[in-house]
Formats: sequence, structure tokens, C-alpha cells
Amino acid sequence: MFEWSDIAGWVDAVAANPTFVTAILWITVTVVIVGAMQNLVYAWALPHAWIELNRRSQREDDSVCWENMRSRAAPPISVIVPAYNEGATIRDNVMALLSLQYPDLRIIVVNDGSSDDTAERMVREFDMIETYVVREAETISHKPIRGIYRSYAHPSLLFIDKENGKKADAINVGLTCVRTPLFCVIDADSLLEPTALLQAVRPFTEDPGNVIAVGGTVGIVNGCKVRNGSVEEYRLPTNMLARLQVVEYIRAYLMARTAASRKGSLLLISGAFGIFRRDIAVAVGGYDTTTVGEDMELVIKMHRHMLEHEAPYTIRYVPEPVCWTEAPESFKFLSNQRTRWQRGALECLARHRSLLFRPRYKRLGMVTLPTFVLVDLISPIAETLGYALLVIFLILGWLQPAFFMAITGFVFSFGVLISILSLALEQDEIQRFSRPRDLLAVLLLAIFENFGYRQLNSLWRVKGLVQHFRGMTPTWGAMERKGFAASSES
Amino acid sequence: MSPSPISASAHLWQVLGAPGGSQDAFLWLIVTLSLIMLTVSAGACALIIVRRVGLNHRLAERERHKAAFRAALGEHFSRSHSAPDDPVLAASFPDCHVSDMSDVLLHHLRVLRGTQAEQLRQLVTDQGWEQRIARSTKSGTRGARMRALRVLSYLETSESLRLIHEHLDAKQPYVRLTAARALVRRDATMFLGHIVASYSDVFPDQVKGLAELLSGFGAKITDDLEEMAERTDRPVVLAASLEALIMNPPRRVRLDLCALMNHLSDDVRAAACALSCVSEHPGAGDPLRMGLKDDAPKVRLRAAKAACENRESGFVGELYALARDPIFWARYWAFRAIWATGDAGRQFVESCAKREPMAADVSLEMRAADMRAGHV
Repeated sequence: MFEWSDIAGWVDAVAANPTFVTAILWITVTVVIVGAMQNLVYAWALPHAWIELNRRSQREDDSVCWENMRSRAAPPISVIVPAYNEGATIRDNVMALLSLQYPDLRIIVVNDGSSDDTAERMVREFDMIETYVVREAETISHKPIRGIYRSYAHPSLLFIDKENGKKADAINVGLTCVRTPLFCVIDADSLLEPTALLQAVRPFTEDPGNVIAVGGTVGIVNGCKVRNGSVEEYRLPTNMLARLQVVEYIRAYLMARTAASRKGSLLLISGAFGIFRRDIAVAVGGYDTTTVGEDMELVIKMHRHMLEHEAPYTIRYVPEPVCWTEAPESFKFLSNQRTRWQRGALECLARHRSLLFRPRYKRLGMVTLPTFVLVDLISPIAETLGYALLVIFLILGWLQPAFFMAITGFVFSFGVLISILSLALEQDEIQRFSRPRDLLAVLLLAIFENFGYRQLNSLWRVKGLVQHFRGMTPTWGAMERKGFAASSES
Repeated sequence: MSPSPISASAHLWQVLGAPGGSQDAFLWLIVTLSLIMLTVSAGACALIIVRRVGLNHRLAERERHKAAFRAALGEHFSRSHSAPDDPVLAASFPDCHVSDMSDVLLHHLRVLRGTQAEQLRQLVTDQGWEQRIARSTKSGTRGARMRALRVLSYLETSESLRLIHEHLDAKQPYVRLTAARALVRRDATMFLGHIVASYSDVFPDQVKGLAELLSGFGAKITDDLEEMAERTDRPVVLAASLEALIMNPPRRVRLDLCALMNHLSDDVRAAACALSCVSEHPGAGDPLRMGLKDDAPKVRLRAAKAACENRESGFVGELYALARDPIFWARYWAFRAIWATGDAGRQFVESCAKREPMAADVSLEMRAADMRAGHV
């Protein structure tokens, strides 16, 4: 029969076991050290992001864009748009792309074997006829192509209908058709700001020999006022989960990536919006179709290629050109997304683990990837372990209230400080939040995200880790989409 | 459950080998640091909000004044009978921030034509706006300075020209670019050398950008460009001069393009062979033929593209050799250039299609393009 005294006795026995006690305490020390190192990385990133933002300020960049728009200095760009079951929105999305401000722009829409009427709509809406184009497919393999179409109404628009592979496979097909020196990849369900390309291309024009890729910011469109394929007024999402992601995105993009860009340590250019040099992307074989982290994989491959060829290069992040995308508004989809991101990151790391601590790969091997392992691989485990330890300490009666309160208070104060200072960066440079009410809400969210949301994120990342090591087949999973009109209405 | 005789923190301290009393000191340190961080966070929050409210207020005020200025200017030009120096009317222009004024004026200067454009230029001078705008080119944000320079580029006073010229030495690269463009707009060919020096100083690798800038002067600087090409020792400037000549091609150039085909810079050789296709040149050799055999893929590609536009059948031998180039797009452009020479070229490409995959590809693509052209 169950008796509380048995459990209490067992707990006492466990607590008195010196091996257990020592193990627990060493785990605690490890967790504290990992936590401290992660926080040091954040503390390092913040001033670097601030310096970078001030050095390459994009304030009043409309005039610079105007100059670039008129100049042939802006190199031709092909925008590759992989589309899967986007029949309902493909026309509006392509129209929005066609109206982007850029002097020489070509658009390549790739239908990845959609089961809906995406292909039929593209052909019908843009008056397209089947054609043939020479494709540079020697180093890039992909699923078979069903047909290539060119528009009469918009000669710069090319449409490729292919069998279903994955997003990476669709981009690869687009890449084989690119003839411009640069190409940009954006999701079919994303919105680019009208001047986004002009701003993102600036590093290429200012440092033409060195820059091989540029990443831009991905913003959350939920709640924004969207008209004619353009964000007219920035508003916070009404959904709390989406709001929390706003703060997270600001921290991740404005702080972490800007700092990484300054140090040449940028490992990830979001799949939703990035510009790459075609020759390098082709030389590394394009996107890897066997991982869910194909965007990160491409960037690491490009780093690796340049370092192995001992060619000077830089990969830059520019904070202002924004690609708007819908953020998941339910725990289910958010959990899927975060788990997938973690798995993608792990897959990339597994493939390129030979770079770790190899002086040949310079900063990438000696600093960037080890930091990535610490922050993205070990930290979520350490954080989750920390919460588990808390429960163990509580059960064993080891928890000293004063010590616990002090440490917890310190950790959360640091988290709050980093989030608030990231927002200060945002207000100093970008100033997307113009309404004090929104700003106040974001500041409060920056505080409260530390209580619950942050822990959930860690759990999802650990879940991704577990799935990766169990060898589960990676999937993209479906993502709920309300559409920009719905976002605008809400 | 009986409480454990050990406390986690105390044990941790033992493990770390720290003296017992230091635990309290550590706790105090942690608490103090936390309080400092929270205070900084709270202060930053308050500062961000207060700054935003202030900024919004200032922006709203500026927007109000700008709207009033825009309306007054619009009204002025809707009454075509009004004289620009009418004192009553002059008094009716509300004041606004100089950057906003530049913005509004720039819009009108771009849109208005003929007498009205003349009236507006007169108004800008008479109202003293020119002086204000001129002052604003020296301070303020980059965008405001660039806007001001663009307004000055539409005026016809010598003072504005002098001021724009001064900005060729501005620190900001894009301010320099705007100044250079403004001088091109003013047809200030006398500053050509300074424009080139200023641009290539801040954008040292930008051949196309400089060429586009220079091409804004049109055909009247052909001789100057050739002279610059002969004199300069900077490959970027030389290549840009050649590219600018390609954009406004003279019937004949005096430059020895064949000699330039031995230049060390790929950009120069590429531009020289392209220029040889649009302008006659002295010299016995053929730059295009040399370009098709060049060591640099960039030059071979440019030469093949130029041959494609040239449509001359005299290079088929070189083009066919290029069709075996290791560079994918060099092979592509070689076959396209052969195709472009006419019926014989087409037949030749089609005859190659069985043994050369690229020839088959090009043949298919060109036929598809012909079909599209037929449809249009």
C-alpha cells in the first residue's frame, strides 16, 4: 500500500547518497558556467551591435536608395520565389514583387509540385507561354521540371513548374536559371518592403569584391496594416504569442546578427530573405535538399568554400530591409517551427563538425561554430537542466530561499536588461514602433517573456535535439496562414 | 520528509573550495548587480518612452508645417496669374523645417515645366529659401543634405553651383554621389576631373557606377573621356571612361583599343573589346577577336556578348573555339553569338546540337524566343 513515509524515506536515502549529491552539484556547476558563458556572449553582442548600427547607420536611407535606384551601380538581381500550394495568394504576391523598386530585377517563381492550382493560376494570371531556357545545372541536382514559362505581360517574370521536392529543391531549380550575378531568395508568403532590395544590395555595391551574401531582417506582419502588398502601418500583433515573438525577433536580428555581422561570424541568413552571389552558391552546389536547415547550411558552405580557397570575403547583415512574414499564433505551430529550426541547426553542425577548432577555418572554426555550439546546442540543455535541478532541490529540501531568489533574480534581471537594451537599439536605429502604446507593450513583453515563454523555447529546442539524435525524419510541417489581409484586419 | 542536513549552496561552496563567509558576500553581490540591472532596465524603459513621445510630438509638428507649406505652394501655382514677387503672396508662405521644404520643393521642381518651373526657381531665390537650403547642405542628417543638394541642382544660380561643387569633397560617400549627380544635371563639364576623382575616391571599385554617372553628360564629353582614358593611370577610371563611351558611342574613337587589350585590368580589356563593336578605332588588330581568346573569363564573356550584339559572321571560328570553354556561360554566349550571325549561324548551331549539349540547349532556347517574338 502507498505511504508517504516510504517516499520520504527514499528521498532521504537519495539525498544522503554522496555519489548522487556530488553528481548533482557538478551538474549545477556546469549549468551555472554554461549560463554564465551564454550571458557573456549576449553581453558581448550588445555593444558590438550598437557600434555596427552606428557605423553603418541606415537612417534617412531613402535618399541613398534613390541614388542607387538611378544608378547602374546596383547589380542585376534575380528573385527566386519557391511556392507550394500558394494558389490563393500567388497572384498578389508576384504582383507585389513586380512592383519592387529596383533598376534591374528578374523574378523566378518555382512551383514545387503544388497540389492546388498554383501553376494554373500563374500561367493564366500572367499570360504565360511555355518556353525553354538554358540552365546551369552541372553542379546542382534537382527533381524533374514539368515546364518553364515566360510571361508576355512581364518579360522579367519566369515561372518553373516542377515535381515536388522540398523548398531547397525548388530554390535549386530557380538557381539553375539565374543569370544575374546576384540572386535573392524569399518565401512566396512573405512581403518585401518596396526598397528592401535596394537597401540589401548596398553592401555588394560598396564592397563589390568581398561581399558574398547579405541577410536582411524578417519582421512579423501579424497585426500590421497591409495595402497593395506593402506594409502601410506597423502595428503589434493582437495575439500574445505573436507579440512575444516580436521581442524575440528584435533581439535575434538586431542584436545577435548585427554583432555577428560586425565580426564576420554570421552563420545564418534567414530563408525568408537573403541575397547571395550566384557564382559562389553554384560552386558549393546550391542548397542541400536533405536538411531542414538548408539556409544555414548554404551559409556555412559558402564560408567554408571561401576559407578553403583562401579568398577574402565577408557575409553581412543589414537591419533595415525588412521581409515581412506571418508568425505562428498557436503553440502547436510555434513548437513545430522551433523544433524544426533546432533540428536544422543541429544537422548543419553535424555536417560541418570537422570545422570545429580547426585553425585553418580561422574565426569560423575557432570562435563562431564553438559559440554556436554553446548558445544553440548546450545552452537549451543547460537551461532545461537548470529547471529540473530546481525541482530536485525543492524535493530534497536543499533549496535555500535566499540563494534561490538571488540567483533567479540575477538571471531574469540580466534577461530583462538584454531585451530592453535590444529595444533601445531598435528605437535608436529602426524606430518601427512609433506609437508609445505599442512601445510600452513591447517593453512589458520584454520583461514578461522571461517568465514562461523563454522556458518553453528551451523545451522546444531540447525536443528538436532529442528528435535529431533519435534520427526522426525531418519534416517541414504545415504552417497556419491567415494571409496578409487577415493580419491587417485583425 | 526530514530536511537534508546539507544545503545546496553550502555544498557548492565546499565543492568550489571557497571560504564559508564568502557565500554571503556573493549573495550581496548578486543582489546588488540584479538591482543595478533592473534599475538600468527601468531607466531605459522610461527614457525610450519619453523620447518616443517627444519625437512623435516633433514629427507631428513638422508634418503640420510641411502640409501647410505644401498647400501654400500648390495654391501659388494654381493661381497662374500671381507674380512670384508679390509681397502679399510672399507673406503667405508658412515656415517649415528646411528638410521638409527641400522635399516639397524637390517634388515641384521635378513636376513643373516651362514658365512655372522658371517661376518656382525665381521664388526659391527671392524668398531666401536658397540660402536656407544652402546652409542645410552643411549640417544635419545625410538624407537632408542630399535632398538639399538635389534642390540646388535644379536652380540656375552660380552660388548653388559653387556650393554643389564644394560637396564633391564631402565626407559622406552618398553626399558626394549626390553632389556629383547634381553637377552632371547642371551640365558642369568643367568639373569632370573633380567628379571622377571624388567618385572613385569613395567608390574605388565601381566601374559601372562611375560610367553611368559620366554618361549623364551625354556625347559632348566624348573627347574629354578619351583624353581621360589616355592620361589616367587608374584602371577603374580607364574602364569607366570606356564604358561611358559605350553608352554614348561616338562614330570613331582615337584610342588604340588593341593596345588596351593588353592592359592588366580585366575591366579595361572587357570594355575595350565591347567599345570596338560600337565605334571605329585606329589600329590594325581586332579587339573583339582578342577578347574572345582572352585569359580572363570575364573578358571572354563580355566579348561573346558583344559578338552576339554585333552579329558579324567573321568571328565564327573564335566563337566555336569558345564554345568549348570550361566556363558554362562562355559556351552559352558563344553559341548564341554564332546563332545571331544569321541563317548560316543557326544551321551551324543546329548541326552541332547532336554532339554539343550546349548547342542543343541554345538552339531550343532561341527557337522558343523566336516563337514568343512571333506571338507578340
